[in-house]
Amino acid sequence: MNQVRLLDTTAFRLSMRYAGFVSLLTIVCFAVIYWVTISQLQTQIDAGLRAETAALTRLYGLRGINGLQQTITALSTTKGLTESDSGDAGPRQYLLTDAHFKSLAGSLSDWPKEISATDMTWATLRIRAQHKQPGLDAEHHHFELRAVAVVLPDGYHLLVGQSLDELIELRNTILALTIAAVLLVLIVGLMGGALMGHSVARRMQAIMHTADTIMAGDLTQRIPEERHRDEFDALASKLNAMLTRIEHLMKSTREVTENVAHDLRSPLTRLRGRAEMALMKNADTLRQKDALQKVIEETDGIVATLNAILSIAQIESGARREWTEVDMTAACHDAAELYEALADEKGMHFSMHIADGVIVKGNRQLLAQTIGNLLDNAIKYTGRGGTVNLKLVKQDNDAIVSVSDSGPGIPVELRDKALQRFMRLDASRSQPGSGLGLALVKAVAEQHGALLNLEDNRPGLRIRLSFPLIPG
Amino acid sequence: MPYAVCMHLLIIEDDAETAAYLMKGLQESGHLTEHAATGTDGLHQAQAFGYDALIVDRMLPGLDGLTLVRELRAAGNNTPALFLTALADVDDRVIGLQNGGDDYLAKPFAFAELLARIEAISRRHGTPAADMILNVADLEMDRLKRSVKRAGQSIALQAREFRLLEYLMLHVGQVVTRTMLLEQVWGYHFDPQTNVIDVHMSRLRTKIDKQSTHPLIHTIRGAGYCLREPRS
Repeated sequence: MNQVRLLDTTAFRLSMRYAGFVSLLTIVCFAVIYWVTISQLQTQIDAGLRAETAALTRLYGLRGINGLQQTITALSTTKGLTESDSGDAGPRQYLLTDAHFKSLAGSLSDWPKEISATDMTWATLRIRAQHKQPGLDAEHHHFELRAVAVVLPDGYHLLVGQSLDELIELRNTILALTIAAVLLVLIVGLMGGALMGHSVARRMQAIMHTADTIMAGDLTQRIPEERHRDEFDALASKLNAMLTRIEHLMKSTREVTENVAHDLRSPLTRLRGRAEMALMKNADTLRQKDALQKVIEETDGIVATLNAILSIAQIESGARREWTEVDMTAACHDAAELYEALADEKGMHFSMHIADGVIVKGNRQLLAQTIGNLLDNAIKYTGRGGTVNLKLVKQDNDAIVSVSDSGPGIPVELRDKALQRFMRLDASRSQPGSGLGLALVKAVAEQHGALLNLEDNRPGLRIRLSFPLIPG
Repeated sequence: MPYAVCMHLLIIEDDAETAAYLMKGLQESGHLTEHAATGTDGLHQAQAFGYDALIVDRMLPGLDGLTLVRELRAAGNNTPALFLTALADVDDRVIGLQNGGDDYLAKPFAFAELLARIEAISRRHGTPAADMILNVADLEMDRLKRSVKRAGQSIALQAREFRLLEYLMLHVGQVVTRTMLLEQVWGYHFDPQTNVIDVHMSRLRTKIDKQSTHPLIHTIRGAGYCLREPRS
């Protein structure tokens, strides 16, 4: 399943595309080289022919037709009057005829049909080589000839040609080189692509293998990191971090579900019991009414618990709704004002120290509820005559809200547990409450990027929340 | 007197059982009720008759509650409306109020809470919010001078106590619940786990009623509080 075929890997496809591109570029380069070289050679050949023709024409002027005839006969077996610039341009071909194209001298037997007999006519001819032709061993060899025809005074025709064999050979060489270069590029590209594709596919395979294992149910699996510090390791590390987060969320979801089931079981049992009591035969109206009243109270309790779970879940989902600048000073004063009366009522000493002008970013209601929950807890667990203190200070770049009490405190080893949902440290559950107060505080703290610390107040508990201050 | 004024209410609710329960409860509290089971029917009825208040479910067949109230408001109909909904979010509450609702109550709810809230938003009740001098029996509040007198005797109140009493006096004769007080007087929209409101009420009562033979602030069991004239 999910095997990535080598030919389908992005790396392979990219290197193939790149090799194709380089091949194209090579072809273009060689084409340019070819065109420039060939056209330069052709220019040289034409210049040589022009010079040769001019020399022979001059010779005719000086020594007449017989002199020219002798010279051409001699030339037909040697290299030519003027040195060809290319030096290796191959043997020149000559033909001298009278006005009726009857051959007088030269290496060519007949006047070629392709070239007209007007003065200074240029043509490229394809000529069948004669076996007596030097340098050509094949009986029916054709060769290409660049030729120029001139008309001499008195109607004689002269044709001077230059074999293009050298040029063709050069052309073939360039063509062969082009093909070789393109092949080389393609082979190197193919090999490189295969190599890269294989390496990428291997690492992808590792990620997919992990994904398969996780989908099969093992959430503890992680993608192997190879410590190359490359993009794959960066990806693996990010994915692993994500997996850890997901595992954590899954775990907490499972815990919540279990806790909800467990914590609702008792009130639901009581609810059911009360309802049955109301239905019992010997129950009088008064007792029935009382039982129903209790049913309603239990229901309210269950609804309150569900609401608390829902709001914690919503906060933990991370959505930052109604995010504004919140005046923490005012929020603390309000909460203090609300709870001071409660502390008073329970015979506690309530004190506060609230710094002015502390503003943080957040949700006003949630922050108020957080401070409220902290004060509520402190008051709930501190006995008559105890002290509860609310403090808000600016420290460096933090706004620190702390609530301390002189209650029983929480032992160090239980502090993490205290922040979990439904965790109530008094086993008897003698105090009212859903066990969600601190869990909500924790969720709000995380959502607001605040640090939550449970500390020893000697005696009692101090809970500190450090919110990042808005700069400026 | 609580529940003294008969209100004509329209309940727009698709769940038959909830609707029946609401109608029975409201009728027993002395109000006239009518019922519409869909949003479209509800809108027509609300536009055709002058109700004292509407109880509107958010999720309705035909036309949802939000749109219904928005259309009513757009048509110039300002009948007070209370949203009743299973969407209990603070955000949903805000959206409800932004769309022209006057109050918002999440399901499941205590009937007393609903009754108190519907009476609070109905214009048939309470004292006009513009009155600057409030009087209940021998209790007098001057909202401009921020002074309170009981039987001519000046009573010193803290700022929050003043607002608490002010709210009670503006809703004289009505039951106000703890949640309403928390929302209206403290501006908190969450459930404080302990009944802190009771403590504040008891403080206020000490200041207002301690010296008098006729207490004005009464605890209504299972509902909340009520400030009312002593029965003659």
